[in-house]
Amino acid sequence: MNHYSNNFIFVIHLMMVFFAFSLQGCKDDDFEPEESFIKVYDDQDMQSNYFPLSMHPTSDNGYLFLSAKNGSGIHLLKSDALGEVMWEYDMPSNYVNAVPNIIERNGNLYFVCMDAVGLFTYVMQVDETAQSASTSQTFPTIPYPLYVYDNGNSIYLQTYERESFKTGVYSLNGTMDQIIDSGLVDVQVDVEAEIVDHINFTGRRFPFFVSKTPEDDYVVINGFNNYSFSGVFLDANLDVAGVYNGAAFDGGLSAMLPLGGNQFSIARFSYSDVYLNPSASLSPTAIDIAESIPAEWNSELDADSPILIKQMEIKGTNYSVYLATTKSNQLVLSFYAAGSSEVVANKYIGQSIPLKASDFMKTEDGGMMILTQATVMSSFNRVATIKLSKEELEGLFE
Amino acid sequence: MKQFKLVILSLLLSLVSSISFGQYTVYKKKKSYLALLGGFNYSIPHVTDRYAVLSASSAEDGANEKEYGKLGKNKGVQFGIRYSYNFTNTLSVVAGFGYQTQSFNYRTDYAWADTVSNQSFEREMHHKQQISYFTLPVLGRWDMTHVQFKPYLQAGIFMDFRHQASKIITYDNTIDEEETENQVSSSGWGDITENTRKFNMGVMAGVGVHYYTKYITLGLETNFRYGFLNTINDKTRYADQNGFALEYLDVLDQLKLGALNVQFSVSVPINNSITANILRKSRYNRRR
Repeated sequence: MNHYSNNFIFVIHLMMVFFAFSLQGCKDDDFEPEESFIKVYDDQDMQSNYFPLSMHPTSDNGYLFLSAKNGSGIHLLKSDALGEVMWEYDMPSNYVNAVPNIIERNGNLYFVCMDAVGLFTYVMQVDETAQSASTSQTFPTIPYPLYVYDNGNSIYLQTYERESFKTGVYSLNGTMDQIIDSGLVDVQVDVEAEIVDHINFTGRRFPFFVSKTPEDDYVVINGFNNYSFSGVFLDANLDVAGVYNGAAFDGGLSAMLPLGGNQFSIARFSYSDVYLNPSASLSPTAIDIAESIPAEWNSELDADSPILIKQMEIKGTNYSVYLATTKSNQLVLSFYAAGSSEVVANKYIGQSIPLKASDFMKTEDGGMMILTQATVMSSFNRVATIKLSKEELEGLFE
Repeated sequence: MKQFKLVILSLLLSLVSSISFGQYTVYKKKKSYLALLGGFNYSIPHVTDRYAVLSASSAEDGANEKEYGKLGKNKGVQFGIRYSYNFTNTLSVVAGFGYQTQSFNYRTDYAWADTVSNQSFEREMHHKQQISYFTLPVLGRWDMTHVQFKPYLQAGIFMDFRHQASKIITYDNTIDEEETENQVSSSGWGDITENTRKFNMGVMAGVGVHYYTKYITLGLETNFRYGFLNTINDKTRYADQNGFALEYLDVLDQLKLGALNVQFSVSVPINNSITANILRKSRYNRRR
């Protein structure tokens, strides 16, 4: 009898161990699929060629992606929260040259593009219900839109005036249907050929951008100016206040994030070299040379691919986050603590498939969404997204 | 393979021919046995959630779904040690420790076409996954007879602790549901240990037969086992940004793994079999 009871106790113990482990096993199931995913948006047409430009979250927790297709064509793709395609839309052929970024106003999403024949500017409003986009405003006197910027308060548009050889800057109202102010920067030379190559993806892509200091006192544009590709500071009236001149078109700024107090996180290029300084001191009223801005050479980054810099708070700390493309076509995320030049964390993404940085943002759930161009099967350029979960993102700092 | 089958068949025939039903009754009440066992298994993946890297609005439903290989292609092996204690001559409890490798296979294919120049590009990929577990089964066993040749039924539970997991992708440029030999290339084996769950548990049940001799017991059994918990780790499903996900457009579905195994065993009584006197003439046993 004693023997039986010992064995009975042994079996009971085994059962208890079994249930303890099974409870532990069930504990890991608190994961939502929208927290982390990789999606490549396919098009079975071998000739299709996509170059993603920008993305924006939508009200249903999904995302809207704006891309160039087959050169200057425009492609919109709406995904759900899991990254699955909900709808796609190819803009009619008279709409070309969508520019970064997607702007949100009063719950509506807008982007800026150009008329294929008249070369003038359209503001397009995305209609998620109709799964398309339509003209919201036309600016027949503004040719060659190159970049649109929104900081929540102000919207600025950078353009190129083909007849007067000037870079234009326009301040638009909140509904993007009226010009509030404008300024011009003299290029002195015709750069239409370079801009046409940029728009059609037939040549070099220039890192046009517009930004604004947190104090709202200066607008910064990166574009053609005075025989070069330069970073130009404009005052509140959009008059030139200072400039960091490029070395013709072969050196200048690649990206900039104003931090406040004349501090900037910058990336600059010189021919095929990239230099980074996450905490550069720049004077908005200085006339200087961009290549003289102190910065550290980064030997692995590709100067011809976009570099993006954004500010993000992760685990209570503010970081200047760089998204760039390496010469071996990997993506690399670099995190610098605010005011520091020391990289806190790096993350490489991709190995054997070519990736090219397009856009990134922190998501509502504390993760990060990356928009990239992926060359599938070494052949087909497609829009791709990589969503990192909050856990993955914060794991970089452990 | 053919030779292996012949060896098994001859072993079975010799076992059956040596059996003399009823010659001896096996008396094993309160006796303990230790067994070594090994064999092979065939996995049956039960897909609960499907995932795909490639997404397209124009794709037909299920266009990017994986096509899983049939039972015969999902072969693995297992071996281990088991302890059994006999409460009576027919009822016993069996607990053990083993190591097993399960595999499952699936196929994906993709095609692109250029209608203008009438060209196309195809890519077919064959994915083979292997997951190895340390396993702890606990079974109740019922012997159907009292004689030396004992068919039995057994059922119980198991716990699996993942040791490692790996996968390999072979691919070619012809969609024909098989590896095209003159085109095939391989990714090489890659580690997917962190993509799989550390622990699983489930039930198993099976039938078998033991042949008792004075010194050893030979056995052959087959079991079906089914893990209740998910096999793939949801949290790390896409964490492989440097490996298979982007290059091979591959992400693992969520699945539960079942398996059918066949294994051979050799067991010995823990206490000396002669003094244990497990084999007795039926008449002798009745007198006792």
